[in-house]
Amino acid sequence: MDFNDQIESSGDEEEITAEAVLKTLYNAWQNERLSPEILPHCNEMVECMLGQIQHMERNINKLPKTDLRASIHKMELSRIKYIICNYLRARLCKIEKHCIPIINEERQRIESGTNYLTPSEYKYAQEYLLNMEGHFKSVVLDKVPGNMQTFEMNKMAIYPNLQSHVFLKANETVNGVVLDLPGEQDEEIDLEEGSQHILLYKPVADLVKSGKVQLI
Amino acid sequence: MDPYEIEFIGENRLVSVIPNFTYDKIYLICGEFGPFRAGLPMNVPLWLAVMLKQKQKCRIVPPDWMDIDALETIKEAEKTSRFFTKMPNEHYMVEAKLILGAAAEDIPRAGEIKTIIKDIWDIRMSKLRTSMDTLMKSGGSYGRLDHLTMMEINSVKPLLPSAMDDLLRIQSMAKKTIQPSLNTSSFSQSGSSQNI
Amino acid sequence: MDNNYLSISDILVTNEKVPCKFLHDLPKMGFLDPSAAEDDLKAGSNVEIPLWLSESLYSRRPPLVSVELPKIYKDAYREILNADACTVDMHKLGQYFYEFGCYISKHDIKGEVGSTLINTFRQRFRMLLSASVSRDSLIALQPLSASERQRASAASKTEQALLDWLHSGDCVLTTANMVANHRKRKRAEMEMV
Repeated sequence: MDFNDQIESSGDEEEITAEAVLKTLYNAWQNERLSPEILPHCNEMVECMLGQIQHMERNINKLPKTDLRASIHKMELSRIKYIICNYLRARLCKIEKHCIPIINEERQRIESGTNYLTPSEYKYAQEYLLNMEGHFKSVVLDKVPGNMQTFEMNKMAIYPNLQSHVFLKANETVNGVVLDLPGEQDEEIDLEEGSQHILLYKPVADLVKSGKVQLI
Repeated sequence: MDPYEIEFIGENRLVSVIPNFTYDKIYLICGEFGPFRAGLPMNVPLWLAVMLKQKQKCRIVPPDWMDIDALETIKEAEKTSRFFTKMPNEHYMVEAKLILGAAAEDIPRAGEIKTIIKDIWDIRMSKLRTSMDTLMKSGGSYGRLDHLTMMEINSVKPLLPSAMDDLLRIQSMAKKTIQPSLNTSSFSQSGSSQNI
Repeated sequence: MDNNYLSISDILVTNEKVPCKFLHDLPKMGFLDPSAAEDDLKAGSNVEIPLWLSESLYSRRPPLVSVELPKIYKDAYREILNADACTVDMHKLGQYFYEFGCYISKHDIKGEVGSTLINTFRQRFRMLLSASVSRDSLIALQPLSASERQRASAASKTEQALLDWLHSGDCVLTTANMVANHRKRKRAEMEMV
């Protein structure tokens, strides 16, 4: 379940059902909430779902207000809107917190066409950094001696902690995940389909991004 | 995550209801449900079941596992096993709480069922505490936790993962024994390196 | 335990004092030693200075100071910690025991500080477990170090959120739970003393 694959398949004229899009959004939301670093965006899925919601809202408006179906649909839409908002908000939180490394890494990813951020998220990140710099300058740096006035971006960077532990469930069997443990011998483990583990995020980051495992 | 968010995820599971009204199929984004035939059981997501129940539009059919004998067996197995046993439902607590909350009158012996589910939960939670301590003492860098439900896993966050993070950090700092740094500003830079 | 540049806790940790021996005469630096009467700091003076300063003096070539272990990391305390780390009041003896220890461990020639840190952390984990379900949180939190306190209070927030959830709505699933936790806590406390 690579996000990019799905983007392509959604380009092939609505091959994918709304139900499948919703499922993908649920997984993306859960992963984004639980992973230490920002994950590749799934904007196509979000846009697609927002389209569905609009369409549905128009239809609901045609129903009488007291119609049971209207209240069921409204309830479902509120649930989906919650997921989408919470997903986007989780991403903004990470963008703000890890602004500097995200922008640096994103620059390289844009060159190779593997960007993680949507264009508007990227713009948000850049503006956030500018605001932060401006704020630091006006509050502190402009008032200290000349040789201390530079905004040292690399020192200010807060990196996501990829050496943090996460819970996951294997969507498919993945053999030979290498846990490199400090000072001990590397340990290799197998993630059988359906099994659950707590382990270091870094060795499984790619598996999260490719959908082979789900953070729980 | 907040327990309510886990509940929210659990609410997507299908349960069986018996509507007291007749209606065409309804086309939701999460799938099609119906047609609704008064008196005939059908599957809907839990959130919808609870909503219909609150509007007095249906009865909820007790899930297979919500049965005293079945639960007694599970409880015994959970008590005797060193490991976590597989629950009949990966959101058993959410399902129990919502169904017994909204539709207790639809569930035979609801009071007893509530008690026994609570017992199973308590046994598992205390086992979870013991296994966390064992995990930290025996290594603290990796653990397998099959059959734990999301609500249970969530109850040890952030404590367990953050303790494992801390331990890893101490291990990697402590293992770097004497390693003279060559420039005078090494100290202030240590703050910006990623893997400390 | 985050070490980023703006981390207040890291700033506090690096502000802790370490005993150092100055290896060279340092003109005009006598003010570092409160007991010195002269303007210059003499080689051989023993002075306690903040970690951020000792680290940069130590990393000079040649080093200007040699760093000694603060007492909590020395043999006597290490023996107590290795025997039963849960009896130690870290709040009194080393608020930043682990974080400070990580910086300090490189000055430990025998390389034993590292394993004491790890062992202590592993043993004391159960104190965090019992503090997180304790309702006398003040008592349970008292002997914990600053970072342990943080971890324990985050854990009790989780615990509280879970209890709130179990309590909410029409199906209350908690009363027995609270009693169980209470009993468990009592037992845990007994084990600790």
